Amino acid sequence: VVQATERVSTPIIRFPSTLAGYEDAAAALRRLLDAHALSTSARFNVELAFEEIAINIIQHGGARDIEVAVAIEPHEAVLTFEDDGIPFDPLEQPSPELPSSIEEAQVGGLGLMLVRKMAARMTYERTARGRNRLTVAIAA
Amino acid sequence: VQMDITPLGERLVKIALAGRLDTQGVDRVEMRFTSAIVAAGNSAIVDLSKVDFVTSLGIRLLVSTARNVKMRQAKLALFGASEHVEQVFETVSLQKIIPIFATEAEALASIGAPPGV
Repeated sequence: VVQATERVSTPIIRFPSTLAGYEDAAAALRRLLDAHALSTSARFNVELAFEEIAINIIQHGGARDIEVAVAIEPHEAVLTFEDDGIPFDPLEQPSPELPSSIEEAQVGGLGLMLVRKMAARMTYERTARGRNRLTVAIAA
Repeated sequence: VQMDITPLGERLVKIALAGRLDTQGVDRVEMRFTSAIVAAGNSAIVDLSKVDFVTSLGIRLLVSTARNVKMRQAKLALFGASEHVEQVFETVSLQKIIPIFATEAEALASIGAPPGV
């Protein structure tokens, strides 16, 4: 069950680390974004980062639950992902080789690369409570 | 995701996609998309002008389709991507492995369709 709760004016979307959980969460994110006047490109990038990071956690993280704080400010939108899965720092992952031909095209790692390239900044920490916390800021 | 198929000639189709090529969208369209192109042995031009969102899963669908099309000696070209979709393509250098054009006429010409198709 997705809960979008207000806490110190920053909405948090919580959902089970499953594809079904993600779909509900993505719908909750879109409703939340509808209430803000983001530029088309900022909105595109927020939704892109949300999907790429969440799906990566769901497929590889072994987490039970994911929570994403969504802070929309005049100059940027900040998504803060927290999960209780295995330690994973996306910033330490090598970027995939960009293919030069269709035969050698590898399709793994593209999502994280997209987020890294379009984010204004990204930070990762393993919290004292043993959770992954990834912050992705996107220019408004 | 909406998908419309227009036969353009022998073993040549135009596929128009509309909506979001994300996890949910790809899940819904993947089977129809690949069977209309790859399973049928068709060459195809893909109209992306009504696609307003794409993620890595959408890119994977396009790449795997293009690869399978090539293995069957057929051709695939994309056209009409919006500014934001185009930007995602450029970020992953998709144009290096799949021909991407602004217009339908250019896409058709690139796959060798005779004029007037």
